[in-house]
Amino acid sequence: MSDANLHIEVPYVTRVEGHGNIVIDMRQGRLVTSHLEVVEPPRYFEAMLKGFPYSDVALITSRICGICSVGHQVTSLKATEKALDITISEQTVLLRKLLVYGATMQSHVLHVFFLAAPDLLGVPSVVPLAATHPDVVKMALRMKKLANDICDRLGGRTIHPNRLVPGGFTKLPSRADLEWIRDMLVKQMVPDAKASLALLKKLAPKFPAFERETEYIGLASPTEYAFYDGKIASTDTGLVEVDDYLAMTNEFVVPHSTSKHCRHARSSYFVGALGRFNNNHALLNPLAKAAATELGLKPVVKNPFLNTAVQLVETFHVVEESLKLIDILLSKGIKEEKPAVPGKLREGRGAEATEVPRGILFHDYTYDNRGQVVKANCIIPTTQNTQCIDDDMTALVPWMMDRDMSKDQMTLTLEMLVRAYDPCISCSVHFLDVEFLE
Amino acid sequence: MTIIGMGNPDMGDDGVGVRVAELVQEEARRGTWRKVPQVVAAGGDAVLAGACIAEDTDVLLVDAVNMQAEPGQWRVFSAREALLCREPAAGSTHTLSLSAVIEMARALGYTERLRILGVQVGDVRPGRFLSPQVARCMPAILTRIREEAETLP
Repeated sequence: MSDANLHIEVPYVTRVEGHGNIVIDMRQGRLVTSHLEVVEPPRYFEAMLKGFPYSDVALITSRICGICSVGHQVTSLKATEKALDITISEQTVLLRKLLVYGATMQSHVLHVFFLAAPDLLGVPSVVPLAATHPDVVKMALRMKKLANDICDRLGGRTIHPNRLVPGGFTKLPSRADLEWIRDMLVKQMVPDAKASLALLKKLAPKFPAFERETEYIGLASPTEYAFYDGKIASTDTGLVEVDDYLAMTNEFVVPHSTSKHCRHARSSYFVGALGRFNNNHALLNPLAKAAATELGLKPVVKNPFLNTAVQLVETFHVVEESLKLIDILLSKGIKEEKPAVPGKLREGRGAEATEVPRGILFHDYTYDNRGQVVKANCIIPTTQNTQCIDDDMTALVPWMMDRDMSKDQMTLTLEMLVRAYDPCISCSVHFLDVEFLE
Repeated sequence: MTIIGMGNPDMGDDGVGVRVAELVQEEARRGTWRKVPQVVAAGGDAVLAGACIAEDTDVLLVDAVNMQAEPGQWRVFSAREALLCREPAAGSTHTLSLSAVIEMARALGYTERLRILGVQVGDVRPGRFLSPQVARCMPAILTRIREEAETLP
């Protein structure tokens, strides 16, 4: 390897959201370039929000992403409510959590089966899987449909829910809706998740056995595996309040990416399923904990490829958590309540965070005394992960060369690495050809 | 019967499928149809469309198409006909093409009960609107869907 030359360009990484290129350049054994180029144009959502009334903000920011639309909307609502001092009911919190869990199920199933599984099964996309593994594809479609239906029944739409407003819900799910969700989770989602676990256990040896220690960041709470609320936890430095998120994210720009990069205690940090798992493992629900044990996952998991496996563990967790929440809601009964409204409008600022499928998401708004946005800042998970992807690539290339991997194997492994992060590149600011130049 | 509306409503006529789905839902709320189909506004989520198709029911998938016709013209294709105009499969799940979804449905054995109602687009610039030509075809499309919903078991 000491005098090796290697140049890999993957102009369009497939099975990720958005447009990113992998560039690797090694000259005479020295790694000159190893990074993910993000080439999507900025989308200016923060600037777009200026002047909009607080009632419209969550509906706009929901459009940042079609997969994490629930997460953006909930985080946005929480930040607005904090800024304007709006107090929401316990019922609203429970229903929002339930919705976040439904969206997490939907996104994790999408990633595990439709984005990552083709690599493990040796096919280029999910389409050929329908012919070779029809039962797996049918199961994955069934799981995704149910997760979408949960979001529909709670939020009014499968994507970009329209019932969530500052202070609460414009329309509440019925008791029958909750009973239906409960029934389907028990009868369909739990058995399908167990079948998925058996499948992933068989495929697990196909995850590259690459490890790189880094800092893992996610929300953490003393009472639950945090998705909806908590403090920011780092495996390196412990807990800080969400209000201090800028001290964690430390955004900076690099020449090769239109997405900003982030760093904290080290050159980069990891957010996502691994970030949550490595900070919250002890609070996993029983089925999820058993799934982690079956897959051999113990904190601190340092293999980025296993982010996908942890997503399946989290699927169990959110199903179990959803069942608990539904039982509470059913026992208390759904109460008709109007969304809470702010008192006298005043200037205010609110920063909030939610764990969306790809990691911790921050929204931060400053409002004037008319309740209109003066300043907004949204830091999405993929922005926080881009530097970590680059650092992983820098370590992965020599690791692959030490194992005498072919160029095809190296290219696939690099793509698998990017896909393991489940990146949402469009949100941070489509498709794969490979060109080798040596 | 399930109606799946696809497309991006923020890109003019590209969102005609979602608009049709919304109009069917509005008709259902008004109680003017004797039989109301299940409606899913899948937008750009082709995998969700695939999940609906995999429920093995009669599916009419409504989407914007370019079939070199006048804007607002529409026709119902069988899944077999749609495969004839297959385009290269896109690599991103978020932009999984309609043909890729149909191919998946075919491999799973669901294409016999899948049809596509394609509407020729006129204007797909950014914005939440339908071009006048496409907007004018909405009543005829709704009539067709209502007739099918009332005829199919």
